[in-house]
Order: sequence, then C-alpha cells, then structure tokens
Amino acid sequence: MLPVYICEDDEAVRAAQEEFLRKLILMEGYDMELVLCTGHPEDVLLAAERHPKRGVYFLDVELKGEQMDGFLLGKRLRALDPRGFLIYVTAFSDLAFETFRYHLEALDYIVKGDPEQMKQGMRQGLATVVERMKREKGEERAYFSVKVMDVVKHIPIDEIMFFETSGRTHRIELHGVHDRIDFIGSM
Amino acid sequence: MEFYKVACYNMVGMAIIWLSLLMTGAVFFEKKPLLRGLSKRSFLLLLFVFLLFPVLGAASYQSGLMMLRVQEIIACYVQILYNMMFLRLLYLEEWRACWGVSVIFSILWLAAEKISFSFRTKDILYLNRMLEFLEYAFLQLALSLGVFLALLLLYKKAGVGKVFSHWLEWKRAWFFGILILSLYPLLESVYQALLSWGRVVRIWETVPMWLFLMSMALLYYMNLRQMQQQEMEAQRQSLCQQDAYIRSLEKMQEEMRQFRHDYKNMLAGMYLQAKEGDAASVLEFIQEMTDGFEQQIGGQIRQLSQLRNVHMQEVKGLLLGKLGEMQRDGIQCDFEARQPFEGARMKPVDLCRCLGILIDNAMDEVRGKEGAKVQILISSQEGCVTFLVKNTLHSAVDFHRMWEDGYSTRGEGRGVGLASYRKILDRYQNALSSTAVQDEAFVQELKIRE
Repeated sequence: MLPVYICEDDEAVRAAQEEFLRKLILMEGYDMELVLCTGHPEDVLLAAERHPKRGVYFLDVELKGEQMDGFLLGKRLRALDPRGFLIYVTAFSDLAFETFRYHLEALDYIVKGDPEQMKQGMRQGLATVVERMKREKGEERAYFSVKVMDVVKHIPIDEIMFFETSGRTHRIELHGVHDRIDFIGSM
Repeated sequence: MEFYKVACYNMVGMAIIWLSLLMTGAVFFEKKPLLRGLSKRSFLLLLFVFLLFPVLGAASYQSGLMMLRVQEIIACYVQILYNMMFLRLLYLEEWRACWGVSVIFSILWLAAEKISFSFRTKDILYLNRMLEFLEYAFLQLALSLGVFLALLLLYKKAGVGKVFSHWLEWKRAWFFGILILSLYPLLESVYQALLSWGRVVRIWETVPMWLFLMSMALLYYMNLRQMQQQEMEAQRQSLCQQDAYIRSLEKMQEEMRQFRHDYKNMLAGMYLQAKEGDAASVLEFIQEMTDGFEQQIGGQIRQLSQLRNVHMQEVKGLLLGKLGEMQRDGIQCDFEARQPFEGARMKPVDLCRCLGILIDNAMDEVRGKEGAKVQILISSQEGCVTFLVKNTLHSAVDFHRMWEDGYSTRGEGRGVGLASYRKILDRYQNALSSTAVQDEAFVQELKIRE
C-alpha cells in the first residue's frame, strides 16, 4: 500500500485536500492510504524516515512561517525516498516548475486558487502515479546510474552504446541512443 | 667537466625553469594549474622530457656542438616546444595560447639571464675552475630566477592576463605579434653572432633585449587601448540593455494601468450581477478576470522577476537580448532562475559564448514551428550551477553527428556552434555538459562547479 502525505500550511485548504483524497482513494479503489496531513514539513520528514517506503507527497511550495520551503522539503524527502512521487501545490500559476522537475524529479504541480481546479489536479496526479507504477511493473530494465555534480542520472543500460575517455583527465563521455553525458570517473 | 655533472646541473636548471614556467602560466592564464588532476600518462610524458633534455644538453656540451650558433637556435626552439606541451598539459589552454606563453617565457628568461650575466666579473668564465663555475651557476640559476620573478611580478601587477586573453581574441594582432615574438630568439642569435665577429664591447650585448622589451611594452599598450575601447563598447551595450529593460518595465506598467481601467469596469458589471444574485455569472467574471490578467501581464511579471535573480551582468544582458529576440520572433519562452545566480567559475566571455550557442541552437530549431517552446533554466545548488536549455523537437536530429564540425540540420555553414562549444568546454576542468532527447524535447545542459 502506497502511503500518501499532505503538507499544507493553510488549514482550510488542507482540510479540503484531505477530504477529497480520502474520497478519491476509496472511490477509485487505489492501493493507497492517506497517512499524514500536516502543516509542518518536519512532521513529513519524521514520518517518512520512520516508515521508509515509496510514497506520494502533496507538498505546498510556499509553507509560510516554516523552517523550510517546499523545495527544500522535497530535497530532504528525496534523500529518504528516492523513488517517491512529489506533487507540488502552489498559489501561483507561474511556479518555476522546471527547476522542481530538474532537481527533484517532481511529477507535477497543482494550482490551489480554484478548488475545482485543485481537485482536478489531484485526481490527475494520482492517476499519473498509478499509471507510472503500472508501467514500471511491466518493464524490467536495468539502469546505469551516475552522479553528475548535484544530480543523479539514470540511463537504461540497453540504450548505452559506448563510453569514451576524453582528452580531459578523469573525464568520461557516455554515448547513448538519446543521451550524451560527460561525467567524472575512471575506466 | 664530466658528463653526469653537466647533466645534473642541467636538471637543476630545468627544475627551476619549469617552476618559473608554472608561475608564468598562472599569471598569463589567470588560473591554477591542475597538479593533482594530472593523468598518469601526462605525468610520465613530462618526466620523460624532464630526464631526456638535460641529458641531451649535456651530450651536446660534451661533443662541442654547444659552441655552434645553429645548435643554440635549435635548442631554443625545442625548449619552446616542450614548454608549450608542459603548459598544455597543466593548463588545458588552446595550443596557440600555450605557444604564445612559452615564447614569451623563453624571451623573458633570456632577458633575465642577460641582465644577470651583465653582472659577471670576467668576460669569459671557465667552468673548470671551481670559483668561476660557482659564479656561473649563481648567475645562471639564482640571480636569473630573481630577475625573472621580478619581471613576472611586474607583468602580474600590470594585469597581463587580461591583456593576453584579449590579444588571443584579436586575431590579426595576435598573428603578427606572435610571429615577431617567435622570431625573436632567431634574431637575437644572429645579432650575437654579428657582435662576436665584430668584437663589439659588452655594453652592446643587451641592445636587442631592450629593443624587445620596448616593443613588448608597445604591444601591451596597444592591446590595452583596444581593450579599453571594447570595454567602452560593452558599457554602451549594457546601457542599451538596461534601456530595453526599463522600456519593458514601462510597457508592463502601461498594461497594468490599462488592466486597472478594465477591471474597474468589470467590477462594476460584476457588482450588478452579484446584486441580482447571479452567482454563476459572477464566478465566470472572476475566471475571466484572472485569465485576462495572466495573459496580459502575468507572464511578463514572471520573466522579469526571474531575471532579477541573475546578478551576473554579462549573462543578464545576454538573456535580455535573447528573450527579447524570441518575443519578437513569436517564440514562446520560459525562463527560470529560482535562486540568485552570482556567477560561475568560467570567464564571462566563454560563459556567454556557451550560453549563446545553446540558446541560438534552441531558437533556430523552433523558429516558425507550430506549438514550439523554449525553456531556459539557471539553478545554483550544492556548489554548482546548472544551465538548462530545452526546446521542442520538430525535425529528426542525427544525435551522433551533431557534434561534428559543420553538421547542421539548418543547411550549410551553420553547424559550427556545438563544435566550438565543445572546444571551449575542453579548457575547463570544472565544467560538464550533457545532451539528451527526452519526451520529444531536445535538452542541453551545462554544469559548472564552483
């Protein structure tokens, strides 16, 4: 069963999210369970640390008056749950989401201004999670993981054509069907 | 003197020379050498050179070849060649830049030796006599090093690194300058030969050196002037960019004013509908209003507020220009910089050139295409900066040929971008790039470690 977390500092919005998610999970019969609704990011980290399991996280981006914002929380969560699903909730439709996707592999973001739109976004989010999990089950692919400075890249091994040492020292170039990546390493 | 003694003496000399060369490189290239990052192969190569040439030198001394002018000239150029290799391995700069520094180094060292030898007590020192040998060694090694370091310090204080990199950019001046410099050892040798035939007094020995130092100063001055002119030009450009920035702010303000006018009217209408209890129309109104705001100014506010996070003027200017260009060409573009970006450990010229190439590629690919979009991202995290340029793909790219010089999907003569991009990055040990085709999008990424 996939644990679902909500971290949202606005109580009214949080209550609405909680109610809607409970109903949605029940109605769709998803193999998920809403385990935590909180306004404090520390609670989410604590819970995720205590139950190390792949989860779904609905995180407010702004989190007023807290130690960390949604981005930092996402970073900490990634360390605990590298394969979890991060879905961001924001008041602004102009969120710099590409940064979230790049650094946190965030799945999607939802704008919470309009309640109907927000619900639609959450429904869509869970549907994407289910679809992803289904797709993963079907394929048993081995990945080559490599750390490039601050991010880790995963390349399917069957898509790697060759590695090449470059003129620069300790530098290796990976040539894949769809990728060309420089990284530091030795052969 | 015995063979091994000469060889040992040469090796000490070589060690001193390479040490000074290391410092010269640091001054001219304005960066640290990669001592720890040196690969085993490079290290062995340098060691080989280090052992071979002192021995060769000793051999030529023993065989009496040393007395020949021709040998001296050849030895000088061989030295310049292996010094160039030394610089290339330790600084990863372009070959021509390494050649330039190597030539200048040789000339400077020659000058230092000349100055130091003008203090000798006798015209001819016999190396077989202990005292005279010691004097010779002191003059050639210790005093020369001192004079050399003084000269180098002078260069450093004069900011020679900036001038040098500017000189490299200025193609014509580079060519003639380096030609003359490269010929200097030859000319010097010829002059000395003429001197020794004519038995001219010692005072004349240093004439070419002074001439040379003067011409160097002249070259330096010319470079400096040209550089100042370019700086002024850059300032003018930056003023233009700021002007454009202010104009876009003013335009936005005008649109805000317009919007304020509109929404007052809209609110008045809504007020009536609310009074009549028509909730559905009121909701529709609100929706319309927020959408309208988003469309009119939301995007602009966002771009400008993201741009505010870019604190490096050169990059900000580049982005302003490119974003403006895209707006003009009707290319949808998103720019993100969530955290403040202060700068990266790369020369501003090189960084701007790299980013320019990446953004130009993206723009060229999507220009005039339906549903096209370009995304640019700057993000500083954990001691490194990431630049990401992403564009929608509209034609099939040959992913593996794209790096070749001259390859382009856009026809002849366009594909120099990525190849020169690679060439610039080759000079930076702290930069990594990657390229990927991901979900119908072409993603180019450049990461620079602080």
